[in-house]
Amino acid sequence: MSRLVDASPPAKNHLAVMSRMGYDFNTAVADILDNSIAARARAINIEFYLNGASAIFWIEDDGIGMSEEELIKNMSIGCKNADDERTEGDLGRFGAGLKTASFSQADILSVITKRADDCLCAAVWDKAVVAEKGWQLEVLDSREIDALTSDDQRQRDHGTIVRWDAISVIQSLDHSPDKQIQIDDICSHLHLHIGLYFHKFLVGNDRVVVKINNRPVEPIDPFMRHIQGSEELEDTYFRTEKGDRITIQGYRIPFISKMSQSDIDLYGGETNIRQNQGLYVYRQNRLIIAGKWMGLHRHSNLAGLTRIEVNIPSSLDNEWATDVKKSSLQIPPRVKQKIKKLLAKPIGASRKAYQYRGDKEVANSFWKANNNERTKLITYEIDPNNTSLQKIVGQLDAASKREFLKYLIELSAALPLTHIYSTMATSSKSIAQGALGDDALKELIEALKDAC
Amino acid sequence: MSEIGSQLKNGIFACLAICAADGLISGEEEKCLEKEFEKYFGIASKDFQKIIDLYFRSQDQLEIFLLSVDDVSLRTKIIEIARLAAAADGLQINENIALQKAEAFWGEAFV
Repeated sequence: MSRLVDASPPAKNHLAVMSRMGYDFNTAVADILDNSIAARARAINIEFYLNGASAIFWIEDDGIGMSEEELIKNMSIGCKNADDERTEGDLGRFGAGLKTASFSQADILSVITKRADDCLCAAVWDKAVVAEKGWQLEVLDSREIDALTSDDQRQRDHGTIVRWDAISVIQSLDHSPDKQIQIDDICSHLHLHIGLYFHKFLVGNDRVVVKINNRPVEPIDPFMRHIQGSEELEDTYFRTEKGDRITIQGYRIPFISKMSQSDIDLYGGETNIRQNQGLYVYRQNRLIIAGKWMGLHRHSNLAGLTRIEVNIPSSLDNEWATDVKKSSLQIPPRVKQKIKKLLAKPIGASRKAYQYRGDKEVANSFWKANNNERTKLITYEIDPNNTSLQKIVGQLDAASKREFLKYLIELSAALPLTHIYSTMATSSKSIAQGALGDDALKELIEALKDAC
Repeated sequence: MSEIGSQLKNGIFACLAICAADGLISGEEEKCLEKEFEKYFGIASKDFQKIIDLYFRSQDQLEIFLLSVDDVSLRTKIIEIARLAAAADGLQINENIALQKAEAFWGEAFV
C-alpha cells in the first residue's frame, strides 16, 4: 500500500523559486498597482530613492486599506483561489502577485495599511527570516510602524503602503552615482510602462492619478487616437458560454510622417511603432498583451499600421489561461478562429494604405512595379512608356532597336535587388542615388566612345 | 417583456443555443436575431437583451427549449431565423449540426 510522505520544500528554496517567476521591475510594479486599483485607489504615489547606500521603493495608495486580519490573510502566499470569480474591478488572480512580484525585486517586503476607522497595521516578509525560520510573517507593533512611516502617512484616513527594501537591482551596484543613474533609468521606463499598461485608468472622470517621484504618469494610448490620421475600423463582440462579452475594435494608426517628433519618441521611435502591430488584449481595462499577433497573423511591414483592441472580462481567466504575472494568456481556439476572420478587414486597410504610398514612392517615370496577384510575384521593369526612351528607340533602325530592347530587358532582370536591400538595411543613409550627376554621365559617354 | 409568450421565449432560447453551438455568440449573430425577432414578433431591443440575459442564466440544453415549442408555424419561423443568424458570421459545423438536430427534433417537415 502506498504511503504519504511530507515532501514540502524548505522555505528558503521555495522562496528562491518564487523570486524567479520571470517578473521584471515594470511587471512587478504593475502587479502591485493592480491591487491598488482593486482597492479603489484614486491617487497612487510611487517613490524610489536612495537612502544612504541602499534604495527604498514604495507605492502608497488611498484605497480602502485592510484590517490586520485581512492584511495577514493577504500576506499569505496564494491567498485566493484562482477559480473563484472576480468581482468587477478586481484585477487579482491567484492572490500571489504582491508576494511573488515583491520577492522578485527585493529582499524585504513591508505592507502598512489602514482601513477607515481602524488602526494602522503592518506586516513584513523578510527573506532572511523566512530562510532561517520558515514562513514566519512579522506583524509589527506601533513603535515599529512609526519607524517605517512618516507623520503624514500615519495621519491618512485609509490606504496602503507597499515598501521594498534591499532591492536586488540596486544592491548589485557598488557606487552611489551608479545607483542613482539606475534608479532614474528604472523610473523613466516605469513611466512608459504604467502609462501604456494602465492608460485606460489614467483618463476620464474616475481617473487614477499615478505619480512617480512626484511626476504624474501620462497615459499612452497605443491606438494613437489623439493623433490626426488615426482611424477607428470595424468593431464587434462575442458572447461566451457564460454570456460575458469579448469586444474587439480595429484601429489604423497614422503614418509616421504624420506624427510629431515628440509623439514618435513617446511611442519608442519609428522601428518600435512599426513593430508594435497586432493585438492589444485588455483584462478589466488593464493591458495584458501589447502588440503581438499571437499566431493569428504574420508580423509584416504591410500590417504595420494595424492595432486590434481585444477586451476580455476576468471571468474568462481560466479559459484564457492568464498567468500569475498577468503578462501572458492563451486565446481559446474557437475565439482565435473568430478573431482571425475579423482581422482580414483591418489588416487589409493597413495594407492598402501602405501599398498606395508604395506606388507613389516606388514607381517613377523610368521604372514600374508589376504586382501579379495570380502568381503573387512582384517584378520591377523599365517603363516602356517613358518619353525619353521612346524618343531614343524611335531613332534606331530595326536591328539596333531589337538589340537595345534585349539589352533593356536583361538590365531589368539584372537589377541588383539583394545588394540594394542589404545595403539599405545596413547603411541606408550612405546611398545617394540622387547625387549621380554630370561627372557620372561624362564617364559613361567616354566609356561608350571607347567601346565604339 | 411579460407579453412575450413562453413558447416564443423558448424559441428565442433555441436560436441562441444553435448560434452558441460553436462556443460563442458573435455580435453579428446577436444583431441578426434581434432584427428578425423585432421584424416578425415586434420584440423591442431592450426586451430582447433581457431574454439573452435569461438564456445565459439558464442551465438547460437545446432539446429542452425545443420541447417547449408546440406551435408548428412558430417552429418553422424559429428554424428560418436560426439558420439566418447562425450563418451571419459564417455557419460553423457545430452550428449546422445543432440546426439539423432542431429540424430532426421537430419533425420530418424540416429535414
